[in-house]
Amino acid sequence: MKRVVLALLPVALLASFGVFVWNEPIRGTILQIMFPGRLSYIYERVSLARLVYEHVALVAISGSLAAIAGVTLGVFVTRPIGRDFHPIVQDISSVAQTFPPVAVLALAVPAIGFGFAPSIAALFIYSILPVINNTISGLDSIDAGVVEASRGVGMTRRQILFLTELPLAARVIAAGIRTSLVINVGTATIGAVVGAGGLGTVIVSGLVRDNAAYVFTGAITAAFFAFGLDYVIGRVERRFYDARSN
Amino acid sequence: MIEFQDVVKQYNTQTAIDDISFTIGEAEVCVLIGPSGCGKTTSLKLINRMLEPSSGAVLLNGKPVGSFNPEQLRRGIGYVIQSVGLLPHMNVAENVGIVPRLLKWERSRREKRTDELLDLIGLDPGLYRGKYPAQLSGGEAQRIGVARALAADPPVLLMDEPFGAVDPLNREILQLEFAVLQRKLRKTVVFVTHDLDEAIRLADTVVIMKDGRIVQQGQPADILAHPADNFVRQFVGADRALKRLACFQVVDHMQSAETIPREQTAKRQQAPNGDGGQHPVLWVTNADHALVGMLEPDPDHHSAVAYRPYVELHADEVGVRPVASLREALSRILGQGLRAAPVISEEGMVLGEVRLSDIEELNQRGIAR
Repeated sequence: MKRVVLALLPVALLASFGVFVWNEPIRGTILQIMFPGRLSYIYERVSLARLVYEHVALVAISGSLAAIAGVTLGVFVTRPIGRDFHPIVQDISSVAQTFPPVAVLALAVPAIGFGFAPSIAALFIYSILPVINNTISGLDSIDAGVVEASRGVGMTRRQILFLTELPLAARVIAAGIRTSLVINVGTATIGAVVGAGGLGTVIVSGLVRDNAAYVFTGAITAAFFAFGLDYVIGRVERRFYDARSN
Repeated sequence: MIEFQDVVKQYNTQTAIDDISFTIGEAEVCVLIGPSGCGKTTSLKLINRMLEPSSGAVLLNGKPVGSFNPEQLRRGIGYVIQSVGLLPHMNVAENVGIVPRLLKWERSRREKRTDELLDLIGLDPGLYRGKYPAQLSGGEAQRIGVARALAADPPVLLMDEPFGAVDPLNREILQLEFAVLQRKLRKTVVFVTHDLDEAIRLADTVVIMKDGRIVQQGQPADILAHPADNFVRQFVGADRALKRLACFQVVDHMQSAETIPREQTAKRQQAPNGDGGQHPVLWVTNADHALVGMLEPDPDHHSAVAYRPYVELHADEVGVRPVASLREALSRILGQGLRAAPVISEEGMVLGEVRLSDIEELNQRGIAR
């Protein structure tokens, strides 16, 4: 019984998320109950579904670019050729994670301008950090003996990377990508400030117009999105590793 | 097959290998042995170019290994490493099939070969194919390490303390299995160990190293009989005479034994004592020709009869198998307080005997030479 509830709970939550986003009458009713006495409950200028799409686009583009670049950079600094950059990259990526995202965005705008592109750039810079960090620590934590053994059976450097090192570090790297994406979903709401669209739009509008229903709509949708993403990646990850754990 | 020519290996200012030259013949098991830091593992790694010599050359079939592409070279040489050798993210079949995979064999051929090898090392393919290294015992992991090294049927095997991480009991089993396997496969094997008993058990040739130099090389029995210097004498230990006996097999040193049926014992025992204990032991057998007891000559000159009274024996306790070492035979002889040990077949039949006097003579001869 408990197990069934635990298994169904995320599915139920995700289903209610879908209804909330795509069914305006139901959303209106819910918000009316929660925040009585407002002029408007439904953000009219753009549909919530449209904002979700924009948000997904922001996260997907910046997140996948960050994942690719982060893993590549992490691999680079653990190769003999990039070994010299290892400490500096690791230090910068650790320190950089403490920068508030708003600050990163504020710095990106004068450099790149308003709109979609600077948001992607800011999100990219911000979400590449956990990927780099985890890629480096994943690759560094591999037993030197295993690499030696791979060399001993006649693997080339490339084969050692793709057949031994990356598969062994995959779990840690995947965890980094997961963290990066979840942070990205939350941070992407700030993109609205510089006109990138996304769920932040309705939050900003709610703040300006003093409409808590709007703020709640954007916040809860982004939260659902982050939760759903984390859940799905987690499931995929677990399926991938169940076989060989132990 | 493999030849070291004036090989030197230096790390910065430290010299790991200081000008060594030696040759390993085809189908020979050459054991490199010495205290840690003596350069034995370094020497091994120079063969498959895991390391490069600072000067000198290692030749494989007359060609310097430096002239081969390192990856191609390694795929053609079996390499067994202590415990960590298996790749933890690959299952047994993937581990065993890794070299064939790198050599781009077809999947079906690879799978067939993997099963063949698991059979060879005595592990059920159906049971083990899908297991991961973490699910294996130390002994199983080592066997699979050997199977992986054999996968592409290389003529040369390099083994770096392959049984070092296994408990003593299993180590002995693995060593015997390997000896049997080697008799069948006849690979050229370079084996690194710091365990002298292991070296004696497996080696055709032993190379003893110290501080990057070879201090002595030769057949184990010769080294044990004639240590070159104090270091070797200390290294082989005070019991080297006993260890040396482990180099010889019972089957090569047994004499024909005299047996009599059980019902004749009373009559023979009463025979007059001619020369006082100079007769050989009489091994007494039952109707199935299995050993059941013995008549021991009476050493007392004044005794009236030739033999002491009949003694019942358990074949398992006093007998040795033909494949056993003389060391084991000596232990049996001393343990029973006899002058000989019967050599018995699996069915308990008396095949011959090993005499204490022969062991003594063998020992004398070895030392005198």
